[in-house]
Amino acid sequence: MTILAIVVGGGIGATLRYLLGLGFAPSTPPDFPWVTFVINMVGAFALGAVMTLLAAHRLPGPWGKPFLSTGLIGGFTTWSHFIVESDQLIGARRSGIGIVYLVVSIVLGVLAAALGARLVELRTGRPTARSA
Amino acid sequence: MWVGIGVFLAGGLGALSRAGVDALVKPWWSRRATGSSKAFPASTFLINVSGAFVLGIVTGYAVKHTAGGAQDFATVVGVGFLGAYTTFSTEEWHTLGLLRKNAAVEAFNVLGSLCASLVLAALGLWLGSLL
Repeated sequence: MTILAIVVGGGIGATLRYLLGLGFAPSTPPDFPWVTFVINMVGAFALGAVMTLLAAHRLPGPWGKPFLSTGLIGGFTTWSHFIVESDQLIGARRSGIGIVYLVVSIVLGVLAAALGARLVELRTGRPTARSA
Repeated sequence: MWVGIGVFLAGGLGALSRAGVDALVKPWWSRRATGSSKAFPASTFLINVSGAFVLGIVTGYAVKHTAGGAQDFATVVGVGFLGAYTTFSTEEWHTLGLLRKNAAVEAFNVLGSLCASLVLAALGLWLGSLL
């Protein structure tokens, strides 16, 4: 059950990312990789929300965490493309854009995760006080 | 269409592989690590750095080989498997948790993940272009 939830979630996440890449091409270096950037920000926000829901025992069933966090969001966001795109920007003598891409992704990604977590906390109350 | 199905299947397999590595590395690291290094997310580090290296190889290969078959292969393995195997969201979630509790480990994790991934992916891009 857990394995199936991870496989289906990961498959859906990767397919969504693939379709967004097809729909909004070209997003590959030497241009700023907007598609990967937006995917990773949305995913970081969603994971912040989902992990906070998990801590507050608000996720559905035993399949909620493996499907949503390990599968769907984990499969949707991508570290490897973020890194390879940065390397390609730097290799194409676009080091400035590459470094901006790296720094902005990391900083905004943490802020997006914090925002997702905070919004859920505001709706459910403090999860840490509730969990055993 | 077939590439899309390939991406779906490879993506599912990639996410499952990440869960597998997690299940192996997490208990090993918590047995091995001492003190503040226990907070270091070793399995995500390993997953993301190794995935970036292999995607470098696949991308380097795809840049050189522009035939349809090679491109489809690179899409299924790169976008599907490696994209789903590595994860940006978990990396950022760990970073947020470490920022709140352990800033030194957080700095080491972020800078270490970035530097190791960038260097190994660059090596991969070069190796892939030789294939």
